[in-house]
Amino acid sequence: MNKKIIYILIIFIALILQTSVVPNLFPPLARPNIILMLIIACTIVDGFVGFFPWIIGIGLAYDALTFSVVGVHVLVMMISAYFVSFFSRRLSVDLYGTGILIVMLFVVFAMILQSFAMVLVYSADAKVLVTFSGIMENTTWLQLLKAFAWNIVVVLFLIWVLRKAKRYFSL
Amino acid sequence: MKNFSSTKLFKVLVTIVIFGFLIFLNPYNVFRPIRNAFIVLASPFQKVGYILSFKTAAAKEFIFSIGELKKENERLTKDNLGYISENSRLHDVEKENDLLREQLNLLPREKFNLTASYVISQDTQGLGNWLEIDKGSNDGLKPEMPVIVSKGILIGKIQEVTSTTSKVLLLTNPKSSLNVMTAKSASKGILKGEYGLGVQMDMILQTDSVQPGDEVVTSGIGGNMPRGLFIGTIQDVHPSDDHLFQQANVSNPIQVAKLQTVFVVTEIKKNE
Repeated sequence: MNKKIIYILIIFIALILQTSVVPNLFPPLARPNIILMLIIACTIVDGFVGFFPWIIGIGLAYDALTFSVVGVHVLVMMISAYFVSFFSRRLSVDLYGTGILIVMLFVVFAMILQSFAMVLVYSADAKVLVTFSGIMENTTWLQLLKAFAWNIVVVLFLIWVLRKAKRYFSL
Repeated sequence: MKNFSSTKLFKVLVTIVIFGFLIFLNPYNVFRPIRNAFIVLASPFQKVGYILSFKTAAAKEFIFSIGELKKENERLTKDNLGYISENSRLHDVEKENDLLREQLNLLPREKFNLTASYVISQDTQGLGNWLEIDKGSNDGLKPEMPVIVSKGILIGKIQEVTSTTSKVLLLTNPKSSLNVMTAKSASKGILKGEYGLGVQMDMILQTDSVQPGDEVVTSGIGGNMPRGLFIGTIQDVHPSDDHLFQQANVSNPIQVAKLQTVFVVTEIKKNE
């Protein structure tokens, strides 16, 4: 029960931050994706099986708040979580040393997947064929690098917070 | 050997199939009550978060700009001297403008009933396609109502309403399509959004005279959009891909990402 309440609280705060705080503090296309990083962090800390139902809930909630096509973010998060789970069981994931390189790999994969999801959303929503390059052509490398850097900071912070929470609240 | 149905991969595949099907079918209206309930629950927190982050962003901008303030101050003092003489010239232009508006029957902005709303959320993808505001059907808002800022600059229209919030479809959204005209020559066209990158005035007749610098306003044709709402200024004019029409890129003076308050046109007041 404790675990559910804490997870609901963390997820709700992350949703509010992503939809209402992040757009104001970061320029477009160079902002972190707190929700996606939360999925990665929770999968690393809690494992895929334990976190599986939450992924569906978070995805649906994010779709609701962003007026997206229902299911888009569920797919992105599910695939990202599976990718993270697959490699985190075979490689050493941690907050220092080579473990951070593995986390960076997860972040890069999730960001690429998110971009493809945007193509899917606009293709489904606007009924117009949109190519990946069509959306990315106005994104500079510097913006991508900034978004990547912020995502790394967020995911490492979330992994640290979740591990502390797990220890402190005996989850 | 482990039963495949109990593996992680099986769960992922089943989820992908189910939600892939949902994306394909896109039963938006089926999920609308659940979506609305969740939005109503989250909107007070979104409002607080948006206001706090707006103030933080403003403070951050101020701190970073302190070094520039002195230079800016010197420049403004010099400019001010020029503006004094310009001001007297503009008084004459204002009189001419009032006369022209009367002749063209453009709606004066004082003729609208407006509902002020706070922005509580915006497009998380950073493409400037939509905003969420803190007024909904409980406040008399309905889909298709125009949304303006600064007494007459159009930024979009209401697309969806819940009881306490509304989604504003911005002009830069590819789903946005609006009948517009140039204020100078009354050349008509269709304004279309370009995935948050800007707006383009399309389907301008080849015979119409459209120049960079011309102001673009709503034409009031065929919809709930009143005539005369300012949209932007033409940047450049070029032929369409099929060479049948002209196209013009229009720049909107409003930075949507920095908006805190907008106004919804709920009613156009009738002449007494």
